[in-house]
Amino acid sequence: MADPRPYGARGAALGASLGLAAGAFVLFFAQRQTGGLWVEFARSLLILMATFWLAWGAAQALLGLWPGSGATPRRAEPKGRCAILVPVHEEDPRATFARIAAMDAALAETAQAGQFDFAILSDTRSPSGAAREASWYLRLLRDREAQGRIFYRRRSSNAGRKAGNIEDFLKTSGAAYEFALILDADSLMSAETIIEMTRRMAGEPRLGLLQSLPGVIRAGSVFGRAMQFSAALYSPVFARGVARLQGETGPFWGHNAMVRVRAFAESCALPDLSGPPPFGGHILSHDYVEAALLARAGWIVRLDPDLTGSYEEGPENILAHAKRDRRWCQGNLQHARLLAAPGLLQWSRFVFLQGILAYVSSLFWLGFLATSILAPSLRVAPDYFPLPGWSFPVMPPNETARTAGLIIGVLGLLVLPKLLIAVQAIRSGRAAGFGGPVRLLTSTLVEIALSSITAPIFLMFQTRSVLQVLSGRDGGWPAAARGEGRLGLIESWQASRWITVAGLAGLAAAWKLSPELTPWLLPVAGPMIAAPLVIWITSLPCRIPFAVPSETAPDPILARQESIGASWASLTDADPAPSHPEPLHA
Amino acid sequence: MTDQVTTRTDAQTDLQHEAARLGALPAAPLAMPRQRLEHVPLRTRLARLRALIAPRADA
Repeated sequence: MADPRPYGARGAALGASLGLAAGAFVLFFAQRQTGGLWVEFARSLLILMATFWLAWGAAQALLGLWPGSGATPRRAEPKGRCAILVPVHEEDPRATFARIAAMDAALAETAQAGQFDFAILSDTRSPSGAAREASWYLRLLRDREAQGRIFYRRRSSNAGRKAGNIEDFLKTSGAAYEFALILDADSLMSAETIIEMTRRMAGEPRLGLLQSLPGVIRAGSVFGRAMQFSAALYSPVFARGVARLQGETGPFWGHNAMVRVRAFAESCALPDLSGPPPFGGHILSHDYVEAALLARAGWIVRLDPDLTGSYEEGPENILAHAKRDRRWCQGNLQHARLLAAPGLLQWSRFVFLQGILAYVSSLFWLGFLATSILAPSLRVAPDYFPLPGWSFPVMPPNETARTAGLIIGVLGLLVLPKLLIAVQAIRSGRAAGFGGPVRLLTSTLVEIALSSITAPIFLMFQTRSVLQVLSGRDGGWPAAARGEGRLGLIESWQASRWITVAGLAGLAAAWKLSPELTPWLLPVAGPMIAAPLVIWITSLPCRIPFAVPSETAPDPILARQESIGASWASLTDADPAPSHPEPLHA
Repeated sequence: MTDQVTTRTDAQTDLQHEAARLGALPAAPLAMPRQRLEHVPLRTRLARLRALIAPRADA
């Protein structure tokens, strides 16, 4: 459990990040070329902002690696009931309800079985989707004999989207429950973790929200498995760093988290913001705002990274990831409207700012690259003897040395934390879950290589998202892309040819304006030019042996879900439920 | 053909009604007061003040 008021950790992380950012600024501005002063200043400023963001991420990892596990959380036996909420919106009901059946079966085997109800909260609009849901729900009820324990409600209007869906449930049925576990359609949690969360909630009456750390499961593609490996190895450390930084003003990631119903109801009914989307209207990234509102009302919001047995599925290809990221981007940028919201804790405002920076930093990097290409063309001819009477030449600053210094710095901030986490995993014995030390190190290096190749592509997608939002384009509420993510080469080309063109244009501009920079631009421009290929290849089934603990030592809840999924696989969507439902047991 | 489609649609509607009936949420309402996240603009405050004062002024 983290320090409730982690001023020391915050000061250290902020100080180190600002120091490194200032260092990068000085490195670039102090060695500026003659001519084009504004370009030199702009690019020094851009590198300052971009370095701050990178250093901030590295600082979180280092905080997570810092020894010490903190105080043991207080526990008590809960007296009230817990609702497990599963909001769905155009999801595959067979897969979602199989997860519910698995969790229900696991909970049924515990002494606390009677304390939990499930509520499937549907926002599905399509008639065919609604019909499938109804049909599979009846199958779920029959298989689990769960009438009165697993509820299903489809709203007539999608007001407020997911946040409105939860709100609608609480307004209808909230008084029946002390706690609510908020899940996503692809969430899966072990019974032990769910019960442990209720005990921690009961043990700390001021705890308004408890966030678990979901691991990624069931990835199959190159991209998906790299993400899964990355989430399994790095995320627990980053999450420990986040918990240490945020203390009792922790994060809410929208799912796999338990709330105290009374606290949530009192504090979290979100208003629509004035004005039209994307900055006005419904609050898209509602989870960050709900965490801030709980903290504003005096409730503790806590992330407990030791809460394992909490899972979700991730996007299987870069395009699905970019689609999800577009929504998150709009939601985070919308938080600019809330930076000055009345009564929020300062840390909550800073968390909003962090979320905005996570996306705007792409513009910093792209701006930095553009000004770096432009700067040499604005130079005036170097004066080797600027001082009268001084007979020794003064050499102009070396652009190549600066670029090399920058690349080393960036790699250090991006790669070093990952390597340190891998080393710590080996030293602590955690490597066993990743197939042993050699396999862990090999997988880490492959993941670093893959993420270096995909980073420029994400940079472009994020830049496009930010520009779309800033130009007023609303991304809407598309259904989540789940399941197999295999793409065709043509589909990949159509979705990313603009990145190829941008990469070629950037390289051509560098060749024309700053030839000495061209080789240094290749690590960025190369993957951009090859974006369609990269997107296609990384969507294919993975042959790289990324091993993760959820596969080497699987949680029984995963096997249970698989078994239920297999037993339902032979049923067709048209008729999963009996035509005349049998009498159901309450 | 039309009959088949109609029959299927009717069957789907029946299933949805059955799901809604069997899946009905417990009735235990809870109040959720709407939160304020934006500062009230000065113009709105003045309008509210005017509305507050106006009846008294009339009296």
